[in-house]
Amino acid sequence: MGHLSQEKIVTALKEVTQVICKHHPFTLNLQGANTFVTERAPTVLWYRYDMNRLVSLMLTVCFSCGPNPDVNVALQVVRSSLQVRANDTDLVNVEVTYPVDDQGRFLKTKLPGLVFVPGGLLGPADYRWLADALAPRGFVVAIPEQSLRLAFFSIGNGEAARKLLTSSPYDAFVNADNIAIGGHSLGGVVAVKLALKGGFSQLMVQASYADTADYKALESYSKPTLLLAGENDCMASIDRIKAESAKFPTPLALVTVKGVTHYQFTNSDAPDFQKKCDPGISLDDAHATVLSVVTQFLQGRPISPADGIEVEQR
Amino acid sequence: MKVVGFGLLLTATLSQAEPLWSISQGQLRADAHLMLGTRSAGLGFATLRTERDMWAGEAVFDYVSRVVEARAAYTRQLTENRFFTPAFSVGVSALLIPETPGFGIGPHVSLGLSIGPPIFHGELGLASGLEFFTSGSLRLPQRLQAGLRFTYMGFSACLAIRGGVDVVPSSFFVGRGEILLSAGWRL
Repeated sequence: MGHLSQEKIVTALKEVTQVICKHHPFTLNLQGANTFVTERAPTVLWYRYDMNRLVSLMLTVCFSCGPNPDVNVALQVVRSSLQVRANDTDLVNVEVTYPVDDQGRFLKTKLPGLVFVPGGLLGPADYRWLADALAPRGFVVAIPEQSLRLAFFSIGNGEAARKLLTSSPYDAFVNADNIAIGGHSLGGVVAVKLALKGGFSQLMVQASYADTADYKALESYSKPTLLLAGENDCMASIDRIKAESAKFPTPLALVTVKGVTHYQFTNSDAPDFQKKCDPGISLDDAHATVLSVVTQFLQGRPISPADGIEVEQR
Repeated sequence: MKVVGFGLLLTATLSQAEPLWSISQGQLRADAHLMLGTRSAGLGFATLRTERDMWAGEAVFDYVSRVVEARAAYTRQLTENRFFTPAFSVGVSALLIPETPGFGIGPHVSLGLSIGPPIFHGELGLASGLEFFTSGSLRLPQRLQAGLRFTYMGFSACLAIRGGVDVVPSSFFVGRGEILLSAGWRL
């Protein structure tokens, strides 16, 4: 495992993004100085290196080529899987998805960040749809893995992900003062706890609500909060979320997405069908609606009323 | 009487900030042992001071997080060997964390109970500790351990599971657990 400068990373990314964007059915693996090009897709770049406190880095997958209307530059998206120290002694895997320019370079502007805590028995891969959609819109998304895939057993991992975004090389293009915390289901409960610890500019809770132990602390919480609920959610019912929303102070946006189930906030709604909890809309439509709401919130805009959602601003 | 243990331990998740595996028991033995778990591997020894108390030490490498840990403890048997044999331990653990580099150290206490005859018995342990790091943070490891030990002709094998949490005042708690297989021999 050798050291790798940021310059070399950028060069490698540039090569990879160019290859991928021109020739989709390609796999390119970079292992040190060796390059392998094989047929059939999907993984792009593997590279491990040591860098200050960041222990090892595996850069993977480049996709989403082409110009983006929200950011005035042709963006591509890179996903990196890194290990960072958390809780002093632990190594935590964090998946970071971020935009690069059409030359594969880090953007020169400071971007807002999002640390997202997965729900119970779910991991970063289950929320790639969200990270992949937010990155081309100018967000840097970090999703930490959780011990035993239960966020409650490793609450500090979210804090480690935030520190990662404020460390080199991400500090060069992530606005440390504009990093939101979000979470789905059990991850939403943990996201509230992390928000209360401080260091995050916004709080987004999907299909979840606060731990009763946090009610008192929430009274003095003042950062913008989004509670996102699915109308057909069989695990975190809309009635429960609406009732629990009273525990959150203003400014608060409570948004109900019509027809959406618990797992439609993730990559797949198959668990909903297995539990005979049928969605009212397709997964793609659910993702499109959720993405629209999340993007508006993270951009600091009021959520616009639209078909398919019910918005309550407080 | 001196015994040397030898250990091979298998399976599980996170360890660290913990007391010795070999002191979570009531029946004392002088031994050397090797250990292999799902996250860590190491070696240890135990030396009887009298028939009722012993010193023990372990050096463990967590091959997942690359942390090196040294542990030492003094154990006092609370009764003579019986079907139920309790023992009490006090000790200290020290951690070396690469990259930063970081260092952690702290005391721990534990209560062990052996259930059964020396040749084959169950072991239960309850441990609590305190640990300080050069980063300024503090954590309080709390552990519950259970194991089965088989001893024959001076050789022993033990399968143990340990789980619990590190209470971290600044960031709630962290779940821990590991399954370990050890084999050892009496000197």
